[in-house]
Amino acid sequence: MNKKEPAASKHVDEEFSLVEQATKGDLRSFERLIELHRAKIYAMILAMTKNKTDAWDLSQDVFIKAWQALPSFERRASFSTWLFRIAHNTVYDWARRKKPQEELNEEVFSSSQLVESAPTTPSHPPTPDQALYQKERAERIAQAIAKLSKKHREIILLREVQGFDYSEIASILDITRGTVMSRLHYARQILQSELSDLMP
Amino acid sequence: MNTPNRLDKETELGALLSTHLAKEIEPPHAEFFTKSILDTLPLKAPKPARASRYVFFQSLWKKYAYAMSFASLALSFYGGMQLGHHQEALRITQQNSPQVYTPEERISARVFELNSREEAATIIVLDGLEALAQSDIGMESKEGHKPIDLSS
Repeated sequence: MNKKEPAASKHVDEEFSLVEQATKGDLRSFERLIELHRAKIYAMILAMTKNKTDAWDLSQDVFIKAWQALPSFERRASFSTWLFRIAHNTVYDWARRKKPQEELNEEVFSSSQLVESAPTTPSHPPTPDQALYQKERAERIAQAIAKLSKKHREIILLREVQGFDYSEIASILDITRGTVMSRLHYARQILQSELSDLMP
Repeated sequence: MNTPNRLDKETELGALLSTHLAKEIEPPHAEFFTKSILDTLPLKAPKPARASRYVFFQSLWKKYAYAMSFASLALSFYGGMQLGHHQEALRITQQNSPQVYTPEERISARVFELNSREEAATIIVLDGLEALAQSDIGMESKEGHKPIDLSS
């Protein structure tokens, strides 16, 4: 069952209210929406592009496009899902522009400029040994994810890192739930074989 | 089938990824990031919603769903018939048979049947062949050498 928590529901209502105000041209409300979502959008785009400058610029583009498209936003999806869909399109458009002649734009997303993803903040500072251990694990995971194709990488990030459910991912990527499930299954299989020694 | 073992592995993988990959990373100079977007927005007018058009088509569909379904069915049938007639004039089909054996594994062959009212032909396309040298195709005849006459 996919029951929404009351707090989450309240958050969604607040978000819709901000969207409504922003649609009327209220920049303060849109500023609040940016503050609520910029870290997630930036993290996702950084994981896809592996380049901080590109991720910064593309994240800005996402919010500008969102502002322009606000009048067409309908409550059929959450604002977050809608924003991630814009982010998906923005990153793919960017990849196409960057390598217009090649159909396989995997190179644009290749691991040549691997950026370490920021690990989640620990509650207490780790010892040097722990820090090194965590860093090595994070690097191994980043390398394993970099081996995935862009579509498999994107889907695993949306599911396992951003926590979207299958329907939301289908909406973001504009694919069917069945495709979501099969892509996830394939991506997980690869990651499980790459990271088998890290899993208990 | 979602076996418990598979679900366990999926859960473990999910935990591993979510522990080491950040869900949120603030962009560098986050306040400047937001401010520069807000500075740009007055220049970027929101695009008008297409909702009214969507609602219009939705209401139109509700009203004339049966008629439109029938019309599209009839149109598809007519289109299919036309396409069938057109394909009768010139039909190119990829054939699975006859089988063509190629000298090397890396060379593959595709057989096409080309049929029209006036003529018919079988085309064999070989993929993977190396380009022929000029000497192999009798270009030297221009320099005085006669091509070999295979009929004699």
